[in-house]
Amino acid sequence: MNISVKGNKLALILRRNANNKAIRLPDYGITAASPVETPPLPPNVALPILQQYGEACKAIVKKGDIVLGGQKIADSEDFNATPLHASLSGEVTGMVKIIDPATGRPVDAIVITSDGEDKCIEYKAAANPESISKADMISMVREAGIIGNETDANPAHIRLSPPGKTDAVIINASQCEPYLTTNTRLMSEKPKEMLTGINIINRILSPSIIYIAIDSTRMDITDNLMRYIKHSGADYLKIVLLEQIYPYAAEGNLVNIIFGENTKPGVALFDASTVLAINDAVINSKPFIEKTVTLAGSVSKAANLRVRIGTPISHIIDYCGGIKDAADKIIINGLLSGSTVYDQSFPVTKETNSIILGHNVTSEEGDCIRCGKCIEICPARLSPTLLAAYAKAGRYNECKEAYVDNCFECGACSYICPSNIPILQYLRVAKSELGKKVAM
Amino acid sequence: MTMPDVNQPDAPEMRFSVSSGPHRRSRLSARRMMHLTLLALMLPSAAAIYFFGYFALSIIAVSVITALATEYLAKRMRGKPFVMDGSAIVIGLLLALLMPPTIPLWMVAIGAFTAIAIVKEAFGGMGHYIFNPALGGAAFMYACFPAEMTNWIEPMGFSSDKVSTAAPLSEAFAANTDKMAMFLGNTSGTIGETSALLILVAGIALVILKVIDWRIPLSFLTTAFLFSAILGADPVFHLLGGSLMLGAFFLATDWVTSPLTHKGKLIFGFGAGILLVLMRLYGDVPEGIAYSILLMNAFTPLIDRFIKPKPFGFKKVVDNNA
Repeated sequence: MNISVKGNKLALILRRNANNKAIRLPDYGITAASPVETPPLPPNVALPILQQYGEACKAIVKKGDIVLGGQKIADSEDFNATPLHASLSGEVTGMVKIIDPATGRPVDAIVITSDGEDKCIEYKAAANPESISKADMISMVREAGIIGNETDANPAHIRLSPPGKTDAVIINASQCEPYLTTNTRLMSEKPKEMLTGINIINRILSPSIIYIAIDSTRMDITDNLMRYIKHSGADYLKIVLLEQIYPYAAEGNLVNIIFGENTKPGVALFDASTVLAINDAVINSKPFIEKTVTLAGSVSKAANLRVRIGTPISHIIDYCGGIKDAADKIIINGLLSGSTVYDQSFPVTKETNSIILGHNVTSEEGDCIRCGKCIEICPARLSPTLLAAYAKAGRYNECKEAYVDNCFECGACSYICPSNIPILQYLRVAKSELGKKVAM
Repeated sequence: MTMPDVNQPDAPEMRFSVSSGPHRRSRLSARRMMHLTLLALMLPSAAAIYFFGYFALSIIAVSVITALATEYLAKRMRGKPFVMDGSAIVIGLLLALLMPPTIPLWMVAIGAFTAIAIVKEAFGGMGHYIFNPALGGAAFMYACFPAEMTNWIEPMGFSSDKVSTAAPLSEAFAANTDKMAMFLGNTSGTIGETSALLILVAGIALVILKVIDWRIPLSFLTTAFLFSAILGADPVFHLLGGSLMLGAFFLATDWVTSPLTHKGKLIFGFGAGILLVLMRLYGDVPEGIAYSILLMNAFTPLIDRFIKPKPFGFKKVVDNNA
């Protein structure tokens, strides 16, 4: 369906997921209109040195060192790894082990105690950004240590150096889960920086078209963006309006919605926040030390916040007035596909997009009543109920034959299941058991 | 404030719950779906009581109470907890609606006992049985009490005069009954099947509430309508007569005994429609609905085996770079 907004010539496309394999979640976009705030600096930060891609970085500072904000504190020879920077100035006070919320594994983290002055290394703004070569731009992006799309956490420089040709780039300014509003906010607050960032991506990957995916319930941000796009004369840009259904913003689903299932174009997906970080890295040579997160749920004031990486979650919660309604669960990165941490002093990492405070709800697992609702909504078109039954019985090989590997863990099946079967959890068990077999 | 350290597990910080996602679930639950079904069944039950008075009331009461008692006993014997999930009430009520008004009540009790004890619980209870329990109980009664199961009277409300009448779907019945009476329910038949209108309203409400899928009733009714027309019978008569409406919306759509996939559901309805018309036109049974759906229940595992969703990305791919 082609629609145009206020007679604008740029085509806006709104396409449903081809087979409507998705669920409608309630819209909790309560922070959609709250501008991004910057809370005061935390007393200390913890920066995990193992990220999800590549080798663990080696710390290049030691206990007692005085570091400046933006100074590199860990790096690795491995191209796939991303370097780590001090997110504020102060003294390195040691190493602690924290639990990585995404993987649940303990990782080492460097702790820096703030001196409260927030001194930074000198950021050199590029004199002539148009003249920087492609390879230099990629290495600048790697040097800045940018990580994190909403749906997976691979480094930006790897996305910028794909093995094949890139036909299209999708900039995700929508949100894949309820409560999250950072992409939308950034797109509406910083359209100029956003377009410079998109231009850099365009120069590196030279795709034939770039789509900006926007949530159709957040249409208000398009007007401003359109003006900038028109002004910049970037005719390769197209805005795609997405229906608010889950999990459309997952990469596979986005590609399916925009291109249809029968084509497999080379597509690179970037979140709006990543685009902004790329812009900072290339234009200002500023490393990735800040992250915009949404804090919502049972908290006194829901907000979008620009915080230093490594800031303890408790610091952010305190800034927003503390926990409300005796919430007993901290959910990182989304109600459906997110994970939980047991301690509120764990830090915001490069992958963190949102912190939602909620309540633990336990429900008893019933027998499958074979209603078929999970099959109806599975975006990977699997049969979750059968996979869960196999996994429950320990028949992992049958899970593999039924394509359990195609599951991208959106959790829609567990969400919809009327018998409260934790289908996603069963599938995760099956996947990890199968992974162990491969490793042996 | 200190940084956490997993090596010091007894840190004084407050601990939060940890669990695997998703952290929010839909409000839909099996129990809620059962309760909605029960609510929808109130319409045909009300019609039953309106048309057949005390007969209907006592049949419904005996059937539901026996079903609940049997479920309680079966759960006790199996060592499982008894939960009021509504399934026993729904099965008891559906069985009652399939009874002719003059049936002796002790036969209803035997039917309800069979439905729950043998067809439902002996196969493993909710989610595991392979035949629709209400229909299983009814089929058992057709075999045991053929005369009592086909003893028809005119609707008479709460008065006590029984006027015998022709069997539904028979030629004499067709000659005496107009379509409007069949649609509204003022005709002979089992206590719950007579009012096509109220069953239709209740069924469509359940479809809108997403408790049942529209595919089975639609393909079942369409197939029965078209196939009876092809074979030269009056399609509207067959659509409104007998238990087809009740069967298509409330018996064939039982989640446990119908296929999982959309395509499978269409096939299920199609097969049931064909079998029903064949049994009605050429069979010796009084009413084909129970056997046609039970036969398709038997085919459900086979349908599920062959009709599976194709995983995403397994369609033929046109490679742009080739």
